Amino acid sequence: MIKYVFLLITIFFTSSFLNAGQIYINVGSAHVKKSLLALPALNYYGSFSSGKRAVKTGQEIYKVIKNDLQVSSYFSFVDPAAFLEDTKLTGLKPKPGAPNGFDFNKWKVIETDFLIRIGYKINAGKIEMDAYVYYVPQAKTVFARTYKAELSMTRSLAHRFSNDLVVELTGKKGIFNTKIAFTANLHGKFKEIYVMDWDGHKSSIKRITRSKNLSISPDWSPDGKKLAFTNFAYHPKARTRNADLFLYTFATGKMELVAYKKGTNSGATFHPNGRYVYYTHSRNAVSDINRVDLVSERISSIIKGRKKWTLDLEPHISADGNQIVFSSTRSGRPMIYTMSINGTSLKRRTFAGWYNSSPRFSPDGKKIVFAGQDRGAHKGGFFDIFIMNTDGTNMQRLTSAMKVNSSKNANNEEPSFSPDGQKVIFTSDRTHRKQLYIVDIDGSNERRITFDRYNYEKPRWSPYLEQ
Amino acid sequence: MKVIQAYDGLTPFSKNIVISLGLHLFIISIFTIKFTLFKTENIIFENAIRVDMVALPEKIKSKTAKPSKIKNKTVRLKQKKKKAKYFKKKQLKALKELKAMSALDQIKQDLINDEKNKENTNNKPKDPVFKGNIIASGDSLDGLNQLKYNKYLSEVKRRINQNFVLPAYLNNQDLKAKALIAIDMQGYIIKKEILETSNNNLFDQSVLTSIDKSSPLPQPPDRLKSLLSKNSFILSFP
Repeated sequence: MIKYVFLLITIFFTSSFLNAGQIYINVGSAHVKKSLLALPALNYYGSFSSGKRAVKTGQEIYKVIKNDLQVSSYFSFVDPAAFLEDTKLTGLKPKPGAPNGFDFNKWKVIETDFLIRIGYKINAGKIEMDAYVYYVPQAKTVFARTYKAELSMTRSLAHRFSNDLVVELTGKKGIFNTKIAFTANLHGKFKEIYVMDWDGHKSSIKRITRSKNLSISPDWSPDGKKLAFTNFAYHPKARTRNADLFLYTFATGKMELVAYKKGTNSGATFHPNGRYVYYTHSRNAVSDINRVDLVSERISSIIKGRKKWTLDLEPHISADGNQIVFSSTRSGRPMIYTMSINGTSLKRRTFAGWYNSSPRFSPDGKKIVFAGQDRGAHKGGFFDIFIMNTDGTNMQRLTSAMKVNSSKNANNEEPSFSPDGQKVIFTSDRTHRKQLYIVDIDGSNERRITFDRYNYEKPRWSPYLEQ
Repeated sequence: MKVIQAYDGLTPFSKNIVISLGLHLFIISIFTIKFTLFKTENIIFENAIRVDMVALPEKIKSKTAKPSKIKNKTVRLKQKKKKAKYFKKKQLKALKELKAMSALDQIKQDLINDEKNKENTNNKPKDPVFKGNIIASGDSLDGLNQLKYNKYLSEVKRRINQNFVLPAYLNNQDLKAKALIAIDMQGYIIKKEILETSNNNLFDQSVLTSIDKSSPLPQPPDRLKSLLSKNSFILSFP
C-alpha cells in the first residue's frame, strides 16, 4: 500500500515538474561570505604646514571607518602587507584614465572585492575628503564623493562615509552616526545622563544633566531631538525630593518638568507619535503604568496594579504604536506581557525563568529583547539577554559570560535595539563594573564599547539621526 | 400439594431428572423472556480489518475450439425430371447458404488473425495486469527510473547550492532571480541565461558564477540521458 502511495506522489511531482519540456529546481538559500575590503591609509594632499596634526587626523578617520565597517559584519580586511602596490605613490583613480593611477589587476590578483581610496586636505581649520569606492572584479566605481566639515567634526565625517557605503551596497540606512544615551557616574559619585557616539569613543561623550544627585533612565524621542529621563528633584513646598519626569531638548538645552506625582516617576518611553510618554509610577508597594500627554499635560492611568505588591513596570511601545510590552508580577514572579495600546488583548509572553524584565520591541515590531534570570540570585542566578518573537516563541539566549577572575556568571542586563534592528546594546558586569557591550541579534560579534572602571546603566540606542 | 406428594413418591434418580428438567426450563424461560421482551443487540459481522484483494489470479482460460471447415459436398440425387428440377434448386440454395456461412467464419477468423498481427507489430505495452504480489508498471517513468530521476535532480540542486555564494551585504534584501540552463549527455552546461533578473547586477553575477562553477554537473543516468538533455532546467535563486 505504501509503495502505491509513494508511486502516486512521485508521479504527481513528476507531472508537475515536467511541464512543456522544463524541469524546475529551487536552488535554496545562498552561503553567505564577507567581502574582502582593501582599506589603504589615507593620502594627504594638503600643505605640509599642518604636519603632525594632518597625519593624526588621517589616522583617526582611518580607525573610525575601519571600526564601523568591521562592526557592519559585511567585510573582512586585506592585510596591508599583502598590497602589491604602494598606495602612497599611486593616485585615487585607476589607470589608464588618471595619471599615476592605480592598477586594478594588482588588486584582482589578491582577490580584493572592494577597494577604498581616500585623499584629504586640511585648510584653515576645515577638512576636505575625497573618497572613492571601487568594485574590483568588474573594475567599476561604486561611488565617488567629496566631504567637507570643520576639523572638530572629523569623526562625524568618517561615520558619514561609512553610512554612505552601507546605503550604497544594501539600500538600507547605516547606524554609524547614531548615539547612545545612558546613566553613569563619570563625574563623581552622582549618576548623571550622558550621550555619546554608538562606538563609545570618549571624545564624543556629552554631559546632559548637572543635577548633582540622581538622574536616571533616559529614553529618546522618535525624532531624536529630545530625551526623557528621571531626576530626584527637590520640591520646595514639600521640602522633600521626589523622582520626577523631565524632558530635555537638544537644540535649546531646555529642561521641562512633565510628571511629578508623589512617588517614583521613572522608566520613560515615548509613543511613536512623539506626543505621549509612558512611564512607571510607583508608590506604597504598588507600581502602575501611566501616560502623560506632552501637549495637554494630562496624565492617564494605562495599566493599574490590581492589588498591593503587584508591580507593572518598564513599558515600551512598538514602532507602529499598537502594542505595549511591559514587565509584571501579577502572576507571582516578574514576567513579560504584551497588550494592545487600547487596553485589550493582555497576554503573558514568558513562562520560564525566575525574573524576566526590561523588555523592548525591535524596530520592525517582530521581536522582543529582555533580560532574564533563571533562578534567584540567592541560588546563584544571573541575568542574560534573551530575544524572542513577539508571541513568545523561538526564544534564544544572546549572552553568556563569566566574571573576570571568578567562577560566577556575569549579569547581562538592560538591552536596547539599534535602529536597524540588527544589534543590541546592554550592560555587563563581567569586569566587576557595569560596562557597555553590543551583540548581533543572532548572538555573534559581541564587542565591548566602554573601557573604564565606571558603572554604566540603562543604555538607550538613539533612532536614526539627521546627518 | 399433589405435585409435592407425587415428587416425594419418586425415586432419587427420578427426582434428579425432575430437578434437571426444571432448571433447564427455567433457563429457557429466561432467554425466551429476554428475547421477546427486550431488544437484542445486533451482532456486527463486518470485518475489523478490511483487505481488498488487489488482484485475483488469472482465470485459466480453456482453449476455444476453432470452427471446423465445412467440406463442400455435392449431393447427387436420382429423381424424376420434374421433381429433380425442384430438388436441384433446393440443393443449390442450401449449398449457397452453407458457402456463405463458411465464408463469414473465414472472414471472422481472418480479422482475428489480423488484429493479433497488428498487436505484435506495434509492440503496445499491455494494460497493467495486477496479479497477486506483482507490482504493475507506472504511467510515465517506471518505479526505478523515477527514483533515479529524483536522485539526479537533488544532486543537481546540491551541486549548484554548494556554489551559490552571496556577499553578506546582499543577504536579507529579498533578492530573487531565475536562470535557465541546458545540459548535454555528459552533464556539461551548454546554455545558461538569466530568465528573471533580480534587478541587482551583483546578485545576477553571483547566480551566473554559481552555474559556471557547477559545470560539469553529474552525468545523467543512462536511461534518462535523452530525457534530461532534451529538457531545460529552470533554477530559482534562492
